[in-house]
Amino acid sequence: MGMAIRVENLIKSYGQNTVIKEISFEVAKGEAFALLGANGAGKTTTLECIEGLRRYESGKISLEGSIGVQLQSSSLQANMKAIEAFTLFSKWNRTNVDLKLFSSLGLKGLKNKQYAEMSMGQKRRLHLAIALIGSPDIIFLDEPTAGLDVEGRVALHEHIRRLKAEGKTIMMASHDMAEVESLCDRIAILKDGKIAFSGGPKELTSVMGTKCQIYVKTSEFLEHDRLEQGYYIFQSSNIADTLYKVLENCKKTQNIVLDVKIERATLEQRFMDIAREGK
Amino acid sequence: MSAFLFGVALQWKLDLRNKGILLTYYIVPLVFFAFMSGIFSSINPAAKQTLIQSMTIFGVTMGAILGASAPLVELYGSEIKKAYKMGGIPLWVATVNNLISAFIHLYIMSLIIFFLAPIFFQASVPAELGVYFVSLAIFILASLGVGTVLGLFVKSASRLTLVAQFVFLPSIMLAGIMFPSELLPKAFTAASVVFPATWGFKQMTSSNLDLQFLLPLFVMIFISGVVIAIRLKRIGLE
Repeated sequence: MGMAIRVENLIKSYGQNTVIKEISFEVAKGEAFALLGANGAGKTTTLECIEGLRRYESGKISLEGSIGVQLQSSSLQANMKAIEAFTLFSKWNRTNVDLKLFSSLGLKGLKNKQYAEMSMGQKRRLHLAIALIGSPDIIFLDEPTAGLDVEGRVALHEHIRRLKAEGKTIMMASHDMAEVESLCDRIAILKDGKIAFSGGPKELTSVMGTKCQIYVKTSEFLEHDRLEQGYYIFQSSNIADTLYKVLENCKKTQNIVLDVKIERATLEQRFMDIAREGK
Repeated sequence: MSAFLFGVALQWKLDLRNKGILLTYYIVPLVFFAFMSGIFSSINPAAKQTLIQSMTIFGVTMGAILGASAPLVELYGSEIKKAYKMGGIPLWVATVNNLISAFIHLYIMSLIIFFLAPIFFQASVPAELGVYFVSLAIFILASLGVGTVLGLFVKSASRLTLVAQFVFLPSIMLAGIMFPSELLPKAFTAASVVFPATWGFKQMTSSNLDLQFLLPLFVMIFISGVVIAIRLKRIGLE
């Protein structure tokens, strides 16, 4: 499968501050790829460099195919109606006004609603509809569900899945782990302008797969890694070994074990670990 | 072309929906016209000779400087420009749409004054109608050039209100529409040459297309055009 997006040694600075430090990655055609990272990690900057909205100091960005962009912070004139915005952008893209697309995003009933009167979810759907005008090959989504209620998130996720099923390449920036885990094939975690991890969501958790958290509640004090809600927590990459040692220690000291829980690391925990590393 | 015309028509509708724009394009100029025409013509009956021109200068200056600049600040001072850029709409389009829409609105407002002033205030109709309407068009363009420059350089609506007043008030006070410019101190007369209203009033009260009045207006249109083009290019690169 060919590559839809290729980023090589991208460097972007704001004045003296280098925010993107020579990152490289590729996104295959038809793939859903997510850039993860804490606020300020450089996700939006990277996306905007790829979209052509920002200039960058050095590096090479190649895109194969037409692009559609749903920006995180874009907006429209307050008194512009949804259908007017959709028509305006359709005409400038020299395509027919695709009312089927407009309706498929649940905008039919909102066509005469002015932008300022729309909810955050409605605005996001309108911006997605505008991004999809002309059926682009590559779709960029920057924090697509930020600020949405549960219903809005579910509806938008369904639409993103449909786009993926149609073979579109999707690149998104997000800090919602559940969203990324359910929608994306591959992720890259940005930390301080560098890629700290790149791979599939399962790969990310499997790196941590052996590293689990063992929660033990006892009647007496126990040496531990962390304490949380009355549970002594042990980080371990060998469950049997750690658990055996903890229980043997309890037996020796006649410390009564009240409860034991074992949790496999979630994507979110792994992300937090990577984000914390080096701090 | 269809996209461009749709954009112009849409901007025209957006302006009509915008209360702030309606106030500066129509309501305040026409209310000012209704009150001040009565006052001017009763204090000084000779004012009827130039009533249409002076009220039009006031309305156009207000609309172009205070009104037409506002949608540009909303657009270029915000994230809307990103949406336009990613949506395949060139950045200059919003400026040109706004300019054309404002031009039509201000021309309509001027026509309302033109038709009502003789009926209600016995104002004199300009002798050479062709000259008057061409002069009006050139004056509106020059004023919109200045308003557009303001809209592209000022980044917030609150700051624009302040900056625009610094252009609007001297324009009105020094142009000669409130009182003869010969009565002004020399420094004020000298300062008045930088405002389109000064030359617009002189040209619109003239019975022919006088180059000495038109040339400053053309220079203002040209300079505004160059400044607007440079500014738009810079905004595009930001």
